[in-house]
Amino acid sequence: MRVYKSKIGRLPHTIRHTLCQRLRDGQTQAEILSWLNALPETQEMLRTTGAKAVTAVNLTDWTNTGFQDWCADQERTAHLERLTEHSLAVLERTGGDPSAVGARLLAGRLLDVLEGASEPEELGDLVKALVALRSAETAARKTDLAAEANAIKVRQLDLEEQKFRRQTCELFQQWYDRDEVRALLGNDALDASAKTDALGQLLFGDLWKNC
Amino acid sequence: MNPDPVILAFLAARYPILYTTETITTRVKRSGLCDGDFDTLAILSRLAKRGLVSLEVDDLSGQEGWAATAEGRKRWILDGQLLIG
Repeated sequence: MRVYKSKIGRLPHTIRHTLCQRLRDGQTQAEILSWLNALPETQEMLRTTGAKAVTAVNLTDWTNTGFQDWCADQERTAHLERLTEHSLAVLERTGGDPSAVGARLLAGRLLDVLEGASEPEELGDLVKALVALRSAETAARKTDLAAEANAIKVRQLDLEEQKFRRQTCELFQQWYDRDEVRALLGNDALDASAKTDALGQLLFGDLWKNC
Repeated sequence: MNPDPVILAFLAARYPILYTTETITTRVKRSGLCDGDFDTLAILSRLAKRGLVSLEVDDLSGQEGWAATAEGRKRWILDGQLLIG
């Protein structure tokens, strides 16, 4: 880690970061120094070092040192973000689900290789792991599809049952509207079985013989 | 340097990628920013309580990994985007 011994270098990282953003955004030295010297952290640093204020010379020195390092870090951070996006994109293109735990762990290993934080030999293992992930996710997807297909069949059966019940009630109304049906049902001389048979013959004719 | 912001910085810069505790420990030690030993899991638990990182577990494989949360990434940006290589 870089250690700066200057007045500005002794300030907290967050303040140095904001200072560098102001430099990047083109604020004048006067504006920056006015803001910086008013901060409690700067006041504390000045008390500790016995200095009176952060000066224009200090700021120029910082612009040539710490600010340059900050710019390089910003570029490295942007590069890391691009590599991160790239790792996730590779996972997705090989069929992985970028929101899944396994895929995001693999993306981490891929990013390690891209950052140069892993040995290149690990790339072989990583490719095997990607292939295995793809196979596992394909199998999981097939299971999901089968479950969806079953759920659709169950819903279809349910709809058919609902339709059957509705049609049965509609038919019952039509039949009960017929005088001969009501007469049969009200005939106490017939038992249940005889009534069923008589109704069947009345309503279904020849088709009833096979029931 | 306090390892808490270093570990958060490592994960936040690579959001939303997941890392195992072992990898986090290796990478943070390699950065040279933290002196001495530190308990990565304890630090991650602390950061998780603040909503800055989260542990995710795959129900089928049991694999687990840590990642910065969106809040953790915002915190890292506000704190100056410390870069852990």
